[in-house]
Amino acid sequence: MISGKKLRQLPLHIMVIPGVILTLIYHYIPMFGIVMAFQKFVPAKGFFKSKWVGFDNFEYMLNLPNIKTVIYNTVFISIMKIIVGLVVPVVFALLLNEMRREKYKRTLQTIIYFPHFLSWVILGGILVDVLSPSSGIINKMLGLVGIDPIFFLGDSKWFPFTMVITNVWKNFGYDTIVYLAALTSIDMALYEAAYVDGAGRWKQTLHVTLPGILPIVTLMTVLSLGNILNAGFDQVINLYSPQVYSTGDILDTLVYRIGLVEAQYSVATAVGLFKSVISLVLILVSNKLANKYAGYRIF
Amino acid sequence: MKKFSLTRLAALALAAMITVSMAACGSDSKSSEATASGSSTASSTTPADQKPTDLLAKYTPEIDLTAWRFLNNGIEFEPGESIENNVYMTSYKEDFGINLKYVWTVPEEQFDQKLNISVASGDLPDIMWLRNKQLIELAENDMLYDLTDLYKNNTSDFTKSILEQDKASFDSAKIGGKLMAIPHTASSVDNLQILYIRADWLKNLGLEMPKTLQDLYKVSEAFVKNDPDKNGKNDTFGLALVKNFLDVNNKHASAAGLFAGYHSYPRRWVKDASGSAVYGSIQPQIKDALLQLQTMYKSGQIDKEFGVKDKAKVMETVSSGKVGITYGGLSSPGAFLKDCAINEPNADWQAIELPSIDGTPAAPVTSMPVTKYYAVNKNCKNPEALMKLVENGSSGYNRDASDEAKAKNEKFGVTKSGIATWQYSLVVYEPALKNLNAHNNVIKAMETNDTSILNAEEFGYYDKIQKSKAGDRNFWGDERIFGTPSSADIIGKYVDSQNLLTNLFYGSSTPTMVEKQATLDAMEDEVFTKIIMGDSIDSFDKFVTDWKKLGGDQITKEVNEWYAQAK
Repeated sequence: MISGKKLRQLPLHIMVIPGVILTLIYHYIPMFGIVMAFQKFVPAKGFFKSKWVGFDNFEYMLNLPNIKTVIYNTVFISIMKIIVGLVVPVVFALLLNEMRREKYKRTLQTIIYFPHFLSWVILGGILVDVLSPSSGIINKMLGLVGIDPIFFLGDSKWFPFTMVITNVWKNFGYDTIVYLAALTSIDMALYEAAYVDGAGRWKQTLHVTLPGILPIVTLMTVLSLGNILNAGFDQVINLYSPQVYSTGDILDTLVYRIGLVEAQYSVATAVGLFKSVISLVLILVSNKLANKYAGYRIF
Repeated sequence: MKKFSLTRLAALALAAMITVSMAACGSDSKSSEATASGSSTASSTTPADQKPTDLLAKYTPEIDLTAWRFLNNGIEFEPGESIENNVYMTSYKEDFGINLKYVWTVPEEQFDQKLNISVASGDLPDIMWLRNKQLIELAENDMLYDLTDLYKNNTSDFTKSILEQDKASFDSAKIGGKLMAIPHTASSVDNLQILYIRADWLKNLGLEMPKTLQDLYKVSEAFVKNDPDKNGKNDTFGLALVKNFLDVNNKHASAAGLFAGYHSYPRRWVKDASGSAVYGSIQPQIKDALLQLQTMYKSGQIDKEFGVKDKAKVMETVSSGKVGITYGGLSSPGAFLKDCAINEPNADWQAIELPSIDGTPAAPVTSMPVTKYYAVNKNCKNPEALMKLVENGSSGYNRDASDEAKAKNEKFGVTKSGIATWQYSLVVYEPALKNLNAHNNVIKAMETNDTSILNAEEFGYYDKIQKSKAGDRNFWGDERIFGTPSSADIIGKYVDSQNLLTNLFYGSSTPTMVEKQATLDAMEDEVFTKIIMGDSIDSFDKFVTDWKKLGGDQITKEVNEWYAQAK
């Protein structure tokens, strides 16, 4: 017999079914393809007849001549992206939150959100022009304050930072909106209490607002840690060139070149699996840490 | 028991059908033989000698065919048309009874990746566009239909003569002696490097057409320093260069022509003194060419930002009249320089033979011209359908310039409004020297005012050249490819003097290539680009050592093993 409580929850369980089915079909069943990482996969032979090679593909990957540089580039670019991509939207959300004129606030929100919708293919073409040392508007402006033109996309010293800044510029609007939403959920009574206790704007921000959005900040950070080996494939593939391989070549572009262009499916899968395992470990660890220090856990 | 008899019945029915159709072919062929060459060859009547009309017979009832393909760069459609809906699709349905359906089409640049993924998925359509690599892979795994007999019996001698003009190209579709695909044969000489210079700039500065590379460098320097466009601004470059200047698949603004001036051939396999195949990128002559490019970069003759500019971006620079020299191929006036000619009425890009650094003439280099193959799925129900399309594909090459043929060329070749409808065709191939012959015929027709020697396609070029001569700059590109002076003139000189090289290696990637080539190419791109941008030339020597160590030696060994067989 179904109890009353269970009966009341039944519609909810039914509603979750499509989601579960989609997740199964598109996320769990394809996981079977992971076996390719341990095979010398030949498409015509399929999963069942391809030869098993154990960890050969992983060995091959780790023996690639420039793998160390590539992993370093990947981690460097993505850590920078995580840090800058955390600080900028939080600061922006706090500033926007202090704005009194609703119209301003909304207009600004829309403007900073807009680049999020442009694809990197389009931005790639635009950025080559905008960042050009001879005719680009950025270098023209730098020139006005007496800075020599910088070859943002062609100078290997600058390239990683160009990646970080353009990526943050493109995406911080989205995160800002998330944090703004978190801000509005803070109880106004807390601000009033703080005000009564003599806290000014700055103290209120420090002791009410920041703790109020801390869970969301933690959540976003933990989730982004899982991306530590994703330094942004579509961005880098559209903007890099041989002269910046030494600092700009990342795992995904390497996999793209050996996996898709040279059709080495197994190696590409092995690298993908390698990335996933590391991401999983990082997410688990950061979740533990978040729980320990911020008292917040996702799962 | 019942099942068994059903199968037998089906087999019997099939056998009966085959017999009937064979008989039909047989009787037809006799009459065609008789009309074609008298009765002397009547004894050799086989189904192979059908008349073309039978080869093109319509299917009743209609059949369904699936296929995949890429869309050529710059493909255009009339309003309302698409790759799914155009004159070819209508013709396939109405003239051949074939309902063609594309399971996918992608832009050319994405084709290799999409192809790799689709081959991996194992879900193959009836007819496939393949690269050499996938052709071999699928053929070795017995996924393709053996076309040997179909080709022999279902195509006309004329079609065979065109496909087999260049035997080496055609044979690249044979695997283990069996014809596993129809190759897209084309003219390999079209890819030979040519040097283009703005003659109007030379005139502005009172300079001569360069004869040697040393002359060229002086011209290039003058193009930067002496304001060749007379606009009072210091805003011009000497040499146009793309970021993938080593890419053998890109002709325009590539560096291959300049390297050839030093008798060096990056990314190609060439013969060394002992007759074995060596990799062009690691030969010592490369060094001189790189040093020269470095000098030109330093002095502003090459765009400081060339390293981030792809072909489209370089084309912008060329079109806006900022560059005076570029290397290219036969098609460059139409595909790369045309916009410049339209924007600037005085722009006069002249094609010349590659200048050389020393007394030995520079030999341009080309690759095996087959870049794609048309193959049939082993499980295809109507494998002979491909042969109909192949047979149909040769009709445009007939020496026939009747009004009917011209109308057909306008419908299936290039329309009056300049839209190249031939690109919609599922099966296209070209005679080995098609464009050069077209040029020669057009020139002859212009000299004699006799257009009867032209076929329909050539007449199209003739017509456009007349328009260009009358001052329509939109057809400047056609005149500078097929007219005179033109890029075809230069290609003709190369062919006549036999001063050209072919990439020795045209097999599919060797095992070590599959594993290492991408890494080695990336290293080469990086090192060469950086040297041009100012790195010490010593890094070239390190590159050579690294290249050999990181798999290059093994690749060289494998290529030579292949070469020994192919010779």
